[in-house]
Amino acid sequence: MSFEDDVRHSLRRESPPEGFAAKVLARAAALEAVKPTPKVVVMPVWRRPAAWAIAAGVTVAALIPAGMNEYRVRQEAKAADAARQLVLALDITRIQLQKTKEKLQKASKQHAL
Amino acid sequence: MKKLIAVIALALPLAAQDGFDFSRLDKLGANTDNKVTVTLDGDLLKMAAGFLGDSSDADTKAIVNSLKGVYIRSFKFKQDGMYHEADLEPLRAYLKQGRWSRIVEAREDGENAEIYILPETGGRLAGVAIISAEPREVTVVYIAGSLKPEDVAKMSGSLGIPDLGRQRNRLRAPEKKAAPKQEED
Repeated sequence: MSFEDDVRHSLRRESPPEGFAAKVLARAAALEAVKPTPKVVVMPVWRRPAAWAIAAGVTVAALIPAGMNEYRVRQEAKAADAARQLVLALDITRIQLQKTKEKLQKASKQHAL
Repeated sequence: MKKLIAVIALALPLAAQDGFDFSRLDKLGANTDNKVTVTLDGDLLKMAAGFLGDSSDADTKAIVNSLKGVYIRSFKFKQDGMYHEADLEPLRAYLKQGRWSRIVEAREDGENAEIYILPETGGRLAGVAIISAEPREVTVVYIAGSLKPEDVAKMSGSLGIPDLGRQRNRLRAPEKKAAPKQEED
């Protein structure tokens, strides 16, 4: 036999054994069944850091204006009290100056007599 | 070193009250409940100036802004001799120092009034102090700042301060709910 005959013999067309296609399909189906599905982990809201961050942000945002308002009211009250004390102090000053002036006038009249 | 720290520690409160510790005068009022104590300095004075109403003119606001400290101690007693004249001596000793000068001293029937000024350049005053001692009343006034002699008279009056009572009530009592409106017939 020549070399060409050997090659031709080796590359000859052969039919698959009986049931080959069914076996391949069955194997493919089995592999598909085994393939793991991706796991979806669902965490409760209270275990999500992002949820906490959002809640904290909302709380702070709600508290800041209230706190600022309270601070402003207190500062206004403090200023009002300081202003009231200032008026009182200046009234007392005016009265004392007036009294001193009267004493001086009285003393100078007595001197003149 | 410890002595230096102690001196600085003692000096700081005095510096904060413009050179004299006015709480030293509080013992004058040990025998009375009829007292007025005013201590306004630094930030409190600025706050008071900021609170002056719109009706206050620019001059008044400028005067108040130029104040550095306002201290008042005023005590009234039910009987004669309920305070010690000697308790005023620390203040008198302080006012004898430096450039302070006594411009008025009036004595009459057991009553004594003194006015001290601290002159500044340009005919202005850096401070005014008044000591008034009567048998049943003693008053100390101390105003520090850059003042013209006529400024004190200008400052008297309401200074355009809005109704303080309403503001204080707003703080003390929670706002009452508005009464339901009665339907008009």
